[in-house]
Amino acid sequence: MNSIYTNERILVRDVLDKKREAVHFFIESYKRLIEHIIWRMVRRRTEREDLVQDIFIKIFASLDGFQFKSKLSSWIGKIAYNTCLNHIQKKKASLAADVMPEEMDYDSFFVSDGSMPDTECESQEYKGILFREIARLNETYRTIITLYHVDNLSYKEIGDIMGLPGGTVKSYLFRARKKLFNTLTSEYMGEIQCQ
Amino acid sequence: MSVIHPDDNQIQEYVNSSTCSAAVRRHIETCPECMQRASDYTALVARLEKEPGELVDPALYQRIEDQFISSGTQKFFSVFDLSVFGFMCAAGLILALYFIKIPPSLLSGIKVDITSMYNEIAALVQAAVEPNATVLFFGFISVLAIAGIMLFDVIIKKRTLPMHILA
Repeated sequence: MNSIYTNERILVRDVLDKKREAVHFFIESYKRLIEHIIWRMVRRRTEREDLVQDIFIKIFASLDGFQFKSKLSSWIGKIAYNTCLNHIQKKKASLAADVMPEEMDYDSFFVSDGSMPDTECESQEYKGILFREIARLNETYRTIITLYHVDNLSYKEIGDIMGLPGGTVKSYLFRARKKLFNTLTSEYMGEIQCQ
Repeated sequence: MSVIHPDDNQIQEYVNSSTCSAAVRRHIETCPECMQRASDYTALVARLEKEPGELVDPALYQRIEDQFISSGTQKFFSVFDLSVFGFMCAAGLILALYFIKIPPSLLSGIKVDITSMYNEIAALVQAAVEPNATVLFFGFISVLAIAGIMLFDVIIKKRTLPMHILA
């Protein structure tokens, strides 16, 4: 992390002044959050890139109106989440559950460290079941799981992004995990402990 | 005597290790059945925490960065700014009507008698404003201040009015 930009006000000011270093840092800092939200809500690769561009355009266009009343990440996440929702509603875009299996992005879902899946203590079958079960959850649950477990956001931060109270976020997270847990333990006994 | 096991929420609280009560913790750690469930939940959480790989082409971000920096994106005044601007225009018009009088000879060549229309409106404004001279004074100062702020925005922050909306 660049120590110059630990202060969000300075970062926003420099991005608005179009300083390359600031713009680069800004994009690098928030691209994963945006990607994760899109990834859970829209599964088609072709649509993802358009959405990433749309979201950054919206962010840059409205950045000078950011009031610093919330964390910058929450504000950005909210724009990303609402843009995805609008995209889904407008174009009837495919949710994960609607995507044909051949279009599913299994690799990006499971492999992060470059290691071969076979070296991990889990089978393709387990991956497939977990993926399918997550895909069967509604987009609210999927997004909460991602923001909580992958982006390590708090209940409140997730609530700010999704327009939900923190308690509701926690409740949804527990429900989603319970649903996954019940299915995985019943359909895939033994493998889950293999980690 | 039957044993009451913690429910799923309590086991998840234990796995989160944040708000789990001591009694529940003690039970889970001494009950093989609950310990197994907690262990299964821990394994599930570990799997959910796996970071996905690259989801979009990394070159896309370089393009976004280049486009933003090279674009002539204009910074527009916000709706609030525009409302203030509207107020300022209205206040400025009232001030003009109050202070400025057009000599009858100035626009004598025009068929429509704009001069007398203007002076009639101005007389009405003056009659309305006259009893509130203090208010008028502070209004005048406010208009000057707002004009100064907006001028600062235009010169320093390079903002413009969103004329494309009107177009």
